Amino acid sequence: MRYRLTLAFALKIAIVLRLRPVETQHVASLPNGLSPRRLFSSLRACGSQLAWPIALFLLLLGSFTAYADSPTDQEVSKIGRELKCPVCQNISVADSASELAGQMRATIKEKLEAGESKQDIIRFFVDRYGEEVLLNPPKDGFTSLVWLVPPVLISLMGAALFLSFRRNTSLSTVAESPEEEADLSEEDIRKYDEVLNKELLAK
Amino acid sequence: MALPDVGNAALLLAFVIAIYSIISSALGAAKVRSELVISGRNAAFGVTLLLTVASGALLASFLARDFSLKYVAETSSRNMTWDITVTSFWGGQVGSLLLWTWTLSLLTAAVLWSNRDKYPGLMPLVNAVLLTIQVFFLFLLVFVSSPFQRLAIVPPDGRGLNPLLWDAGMFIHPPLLLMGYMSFSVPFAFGISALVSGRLGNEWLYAVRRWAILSWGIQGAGLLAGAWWAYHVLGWGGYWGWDPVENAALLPWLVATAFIHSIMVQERRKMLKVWNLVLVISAFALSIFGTFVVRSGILSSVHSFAQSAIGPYFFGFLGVILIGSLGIFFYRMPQLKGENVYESVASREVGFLFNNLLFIGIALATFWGMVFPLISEMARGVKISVGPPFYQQVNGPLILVLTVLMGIGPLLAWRRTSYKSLKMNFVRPLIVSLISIAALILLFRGEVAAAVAYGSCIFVTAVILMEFYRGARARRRLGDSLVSALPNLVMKNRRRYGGYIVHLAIVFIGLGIIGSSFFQKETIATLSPGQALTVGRYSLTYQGLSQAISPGVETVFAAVTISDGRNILARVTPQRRFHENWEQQPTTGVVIATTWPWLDDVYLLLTGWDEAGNATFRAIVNPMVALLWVGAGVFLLGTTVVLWPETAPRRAVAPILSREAVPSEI
Repeated sequence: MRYRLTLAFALKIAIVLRLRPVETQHVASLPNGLSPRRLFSSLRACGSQLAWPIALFLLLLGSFTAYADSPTDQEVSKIGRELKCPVCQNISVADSASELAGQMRATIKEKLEAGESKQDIIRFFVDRYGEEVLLNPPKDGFTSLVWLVPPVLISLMGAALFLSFRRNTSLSTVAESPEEEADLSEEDIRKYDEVLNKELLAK
Repeated sequence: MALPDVGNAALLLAFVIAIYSIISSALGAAKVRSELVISGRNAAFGVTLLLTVASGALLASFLARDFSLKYVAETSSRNMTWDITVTSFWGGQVGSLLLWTWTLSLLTAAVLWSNRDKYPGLMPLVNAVLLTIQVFFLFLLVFVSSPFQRLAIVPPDGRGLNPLLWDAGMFIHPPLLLMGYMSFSVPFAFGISALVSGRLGNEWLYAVRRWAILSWGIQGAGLLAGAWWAYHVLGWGGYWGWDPVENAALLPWLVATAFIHSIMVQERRKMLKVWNLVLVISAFALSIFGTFVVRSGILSSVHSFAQSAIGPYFFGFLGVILIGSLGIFFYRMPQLKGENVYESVASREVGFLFNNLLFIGIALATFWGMVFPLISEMARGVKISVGPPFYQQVNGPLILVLTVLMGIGPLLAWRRTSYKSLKMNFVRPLIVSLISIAALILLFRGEVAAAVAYGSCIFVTAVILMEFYRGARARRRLGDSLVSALPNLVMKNRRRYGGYIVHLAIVFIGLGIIGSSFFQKETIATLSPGQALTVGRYSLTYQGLSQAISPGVETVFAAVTISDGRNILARVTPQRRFHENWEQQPTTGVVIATTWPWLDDVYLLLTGWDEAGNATFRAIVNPMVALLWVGAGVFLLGTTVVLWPETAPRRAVAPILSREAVPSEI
């Protein structure tokens, strides 16, 4: 588990650092002057060169931690939270105090020690207790519907809202004139306070 | 005449008088005859009185240990103290129904009395609708499952209440939730009356606003009380399990939250008329749906002790509500056009629209997850479960966006907001929160989601505190002292600043939820006396096992000391209790020690032991959950501020005279 997290993190760093277009000539011109912009771009250049070594280092670190210790109770619970205790009323294996849930936690621990993946372990329990044991419905097949319908409905509602703006709106955005974007002056703040005061006095 | 006979007679009489009240007030409205209206209203007060008598009779039967009554024998026993016996009133299903009906009749009386001189075009219809709901419940109480049903053979002792329910939480959580469900009837009644009478202006909204906030506040308090109870008593380590019954109670609250926000758009800008009616009708329909789910046992739930055979009646009632409301709704549709247009995307009204989109989105996702197992079983005959992982993944991001919006929305101006004011209000909070997100990502070593979630909480807090600061500064210029500026500010504009306080409460609750969802630590270990287990930064040393026997209960204690490696923080005794008549279902005495300054909850459960004195523990560290309960307190404070009666009734006359009246606030 921890291994995979570190892996993801390492890849992310690599991508963030690598994907930025970097002109290497900045590195060469570095000693000439130390403007903030130059410093930044040179740092970026360094970063992009260091990206893969860093990623590799993190990968190694990750793989060490993954095999160094036996599964923690957290890791057991994490899987247990996705499984429903078959003899309980809607409580997960991680949270149930029942005997069966205790045995199932022990099984998860054994299987983790044997190096089985989370998917394997979950499949094992599905084969035994049926699909009902899954608290986290699979994102494929029929149960993908449970995942798909809410985002689709919300997007549709959002689209309907957008269309109703188009229909009902007399004007579109906020930007009016360049002066409007100028920095706040003392005058603006004073005006705001005035309006607020007036509002408060009106009560 | 014995007490139960009095109760039965009162219920039957209440049923008859309630029907009279409906007919009289409806006729009075149709023929504009005030004596009929007044008679209908008096009949409603009569129903309240009779239901009070019936409830008193049931309570007295409980306290008198009258086990000739089936309900009393099922839910109480002689070894229960009088205070727990009182909670037996709603410990089973008929009592809950009676409590619901009784509190609804009290609320009806309050609504009718406080509006006796107002809204003459609406109130008779409100009366009729509320009494129709009461008639449904009275029908159940009189003809389907009476609380005063007798047993042929009187048992010497009752079965007693489920020991899980022997708790102080029983005084708060079920009555609050029942009252919350029940109180959504009032906005519904006003909405339906507006539709029936064709008075579709802002009148019904003024009339209902306070009541809507009251129902919303009660339901919110009920949910929080339920979370507190689950955490402190049920002992599974959490406070919210996305259980169908919890979801059912959350749904009307979500819709009501959308409503108390969008109501402001109609007040100010006369838009969203249709939408507001849809919301009040849905909130009520969902509260009946929730009751149906709880009572029917149609979905697998930890609350299964509340099941019974009256489910189908609720289903029928739900159908009547939906078909009736929709019918009249479409009949009035042509008159429900908004009177204004949206002028800018960066405006308060559009902010509210997004707020509504998100709240309804969360409600839809929750509803869908809740009923999906039924759909799966019907469509392909396979039983499946939809559990917490689904809701966390789907609702989590929606709630996050909603939190950010909670920081932005209140500062947008009506109609349009200039860049200038956007800049003035948001630049500083935005910088603060971006910096903290960056710092938190480093601190949490890559838990980006948690860092972003905390960052949005910081953003909202910064925006709200700036608002308080600006307001207080303005009050200072008006001559308030340092001490009085803030309270005066809040009391002069309760709706606005009360709302901010509620938003702050949501931030506190959010902090608790984020902390415990991302940073929970857990250890399960079997120890012999003297051994210790480690969980998070704490070390828990097991000292030994002991046992205590008191009438009806056998308790096993484990003595444990909690230390942070250097100092002993607490000496605690997690326990397990075995109750007479309920041996198969021992209850846990969970120990929760909150530590300073980390605000970690050390949550300790005794899960088993053996002859040799070895004990098995489940120890969890839940960071920041204590803030959730702080948030609950702040929530109550904010709601009270919003609801606090105005000193001078500013618009006592206006709403009757004119539909155009617009309140001057926010």
